[in-house]
Amino acid sequence: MSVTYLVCRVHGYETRLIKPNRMLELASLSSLEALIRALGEVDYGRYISGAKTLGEVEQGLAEAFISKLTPLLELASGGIRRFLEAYLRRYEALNLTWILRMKAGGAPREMVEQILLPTWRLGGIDLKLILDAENIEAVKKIIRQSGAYKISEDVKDLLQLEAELWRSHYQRVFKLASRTKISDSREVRRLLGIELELSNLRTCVLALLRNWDPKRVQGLLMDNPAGTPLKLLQELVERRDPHIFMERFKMFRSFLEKAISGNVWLMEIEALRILKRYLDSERIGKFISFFYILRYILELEIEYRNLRAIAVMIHHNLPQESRRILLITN
Amino acid sequence: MSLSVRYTRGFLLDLKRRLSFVQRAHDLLEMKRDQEIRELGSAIDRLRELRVVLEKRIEEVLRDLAMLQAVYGSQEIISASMLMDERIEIEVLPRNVMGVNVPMIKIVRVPEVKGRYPLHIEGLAEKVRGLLEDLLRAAELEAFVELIAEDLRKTSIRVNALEKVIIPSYEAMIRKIGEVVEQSALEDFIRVKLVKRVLERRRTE
Repeated sequence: MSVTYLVCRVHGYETRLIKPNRMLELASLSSLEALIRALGEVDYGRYISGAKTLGEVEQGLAEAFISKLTPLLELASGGIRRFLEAYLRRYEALNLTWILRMKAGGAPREMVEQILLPTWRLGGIDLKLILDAENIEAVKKIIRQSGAYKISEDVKDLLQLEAELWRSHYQRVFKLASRTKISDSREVRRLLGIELELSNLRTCVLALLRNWDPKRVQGLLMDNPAGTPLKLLQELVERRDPHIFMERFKMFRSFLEKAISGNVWLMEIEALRILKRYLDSERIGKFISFFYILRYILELEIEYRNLRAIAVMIHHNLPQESRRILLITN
Repeated sequence: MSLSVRYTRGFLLDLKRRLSFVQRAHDLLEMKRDQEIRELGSAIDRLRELRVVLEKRIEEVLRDLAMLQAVYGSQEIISASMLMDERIEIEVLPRNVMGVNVPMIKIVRVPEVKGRYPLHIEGLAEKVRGLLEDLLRAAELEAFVELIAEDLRKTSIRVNALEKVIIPSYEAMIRKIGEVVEQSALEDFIRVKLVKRVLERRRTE
């Protein structure tokens, strides 16, 4: 299928996204049952109608999220499909980090299976093989053999291993972004660049605030072809002062301030807000543009994360003002 | 109190000796009770303070946990929680406080949190680590309060029993035996007098 058709479908899908006002209404609900009922009115119903617990609601929402992504792959073809497959592997990388952690802690297979996003629908590594693996070394071997990620054999540190997974993922996505004929490759690269920049800045600032060894921090950073060079970040880390980053990266000040204030969770929210702001601010002249697909993917992820956050907040009975803070609606 | 009572001077002296022993025991128990009340009062004050701090910290930890769970999802929290494969090691040692064995918790080793969790979770992990240490202190203090309170209850019962039952009964018995012994001594004296008078009358006849 052509990119034109895919983008048109995406414009159609976008109309199904839950509107910010409705999201705020959902956040003010007082019970999980009420949330399940309310979501039953939209296309989430079939995924969560039978849910009783928070875990089941989260599982249903993850199922719905991945199901909404699969048509994109089905409709794409050629280089665009390859790029999208690589881009969507971010959720597989997320699954892999969870599996690695749980394998390290000796969690049983069923327990690991329960928390995973159903990314096998998006292609990628056969997670069953990884789940059956005896230990971390076996998991690493399967990941290496898949050819999807480049991870070195001698990495023992789990956090380092997670960083290698992400590094490898972004390298692949950047490579495909430059190889694939995409009409808006500049915007796509910029979006990926911001994403990586935020991830690197988070690592630097939080690690410095927590007095981590700069050498270790440097090992967790990722090369950003569309952002601050790795070498510069490493030099800044050597100076061991998180405030330097505030001065140097003024456009991400709101993001970095969250780390300094101690509200780490708000960093993630702010990161998504920055990305959304960038996506909203980029006015693409044409109606048919590849950029819209990435925008839809991010908006879908935001919707998924908002709904998941609402379910958790209702479960914990968090006050209304806290609920609003944790939603990404503007 | 089962005692085979003999109305003799010897028994009376023995009973008085016993009463003075019981009174000394009563005084000691009273001192123990007062000291236990003091210890209990100060322990309760400390526990109350610790509980206030603990409640605040638990509230903070739960809030952070809820926030992190809402933002990153349960998967992130569950998987990160598996990263800690070490356990906190403690030794529970007995400590003698006024004859009561109370547990003393010695924290042998608390696993290091720094650098073992993803950066966004590490703060919470560190808070939970601190909280665990406080919870152990609270548990130690609570066990102390419980055991001392139980011993105080027993000591109070003993003091009351001595004060209200045993000592009064001893005193009553001593009084009664004293009266009987005195009565019998008077009777003996009168009997001797009468005998002496009869003997003197016979001698003059």
